[in-house]
Amino acid sequence: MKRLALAKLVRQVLKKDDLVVCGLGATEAAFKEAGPVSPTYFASDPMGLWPSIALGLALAQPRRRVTLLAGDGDLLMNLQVLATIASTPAKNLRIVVFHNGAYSSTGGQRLAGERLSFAAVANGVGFGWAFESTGEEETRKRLEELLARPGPALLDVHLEDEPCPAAPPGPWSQVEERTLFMKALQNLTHEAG
Amino acid sequence: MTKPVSNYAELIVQGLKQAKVEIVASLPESMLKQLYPMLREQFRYIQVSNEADLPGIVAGAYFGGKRAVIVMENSGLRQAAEPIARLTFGHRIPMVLLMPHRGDLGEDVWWGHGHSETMVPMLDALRIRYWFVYKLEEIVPSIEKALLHADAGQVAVALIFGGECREVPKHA
Repeated sequence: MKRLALAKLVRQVLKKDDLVVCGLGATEAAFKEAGPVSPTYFASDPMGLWPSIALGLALAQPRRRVTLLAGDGDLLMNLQVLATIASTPAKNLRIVVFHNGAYSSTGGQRLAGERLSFAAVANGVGFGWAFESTGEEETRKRLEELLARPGPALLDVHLEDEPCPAAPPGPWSQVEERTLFMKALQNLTHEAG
Repeated sequence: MTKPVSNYAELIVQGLKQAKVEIVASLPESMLKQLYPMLREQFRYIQVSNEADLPGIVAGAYFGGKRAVIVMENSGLRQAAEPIARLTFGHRIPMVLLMPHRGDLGEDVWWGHGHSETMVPMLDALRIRYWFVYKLEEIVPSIEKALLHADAGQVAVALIFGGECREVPKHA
């Protein structure tokens, strides 16, 4: 399965009041192309930090579903954070791993530990639900399960290794991006009354 | 009858409560050891296994509208330097760090001396404004001011606890 196909499947299972934290690089490019349906923070920079940010957001917004879209290289950079997440009451936090075994936006270099199972690590540190999936049919079913049950939960989706040239910086600075995200979240809260 | 004097841990908790902090992210150490059980009881307390995960938790909480702080040893600055730099310079996330002054004058724990030697250069390099808190009566107002300062300027602020405001330094 290609990463855009996964991004589109994720988009289908999200609701407009979900919060999404999207990792950088190829994952960001794919989810932007699929088109977000709800407040989405496109991390842009740096690698390795977004699971902890998604955790903080999930703790601050316990009534909303928070989904982290994580590239495999991104998640691998700070893998111990899964143990922290597992030890928290963040039942509203789910993680989808875009797993192609390579640093796609820096030239496709293979990851150290490219055979790693993120699902096995998540299960090992105490996630209540973590699976691997391959192919669209299986992944669609697993994504529905992921969103239907309490977190923290993780779906490790195996993808084809496609190139993804690094995108140029967008029109907004990081402080503008996070301000827009915070405003979108405030508007969502206001609409909900 | 005079009221018993609160210890440093009770005063830090009081300061955090008054500053409306709800989430505390921490990697515990020994110089504020009376504090950690209180944090676990009275706040949403998140214990990490690497200081590099602390700034992200504070940033995510800020995105979601909650006040969070970091509590760690001063050596954690070195481990957390990259995420702090990324989140404060790029994203302008307000961030308050509470740290004991491991390696302060007179400490016999020789391995902690380097923590003190590198602390101020690290704070300066990261453009973190910092204040030393050495007297019990300074704890509560310092915490409130640190949160206010960080929020107002969208910057990182550190409070460094020494003197009466942490455990008596000895091997730990």
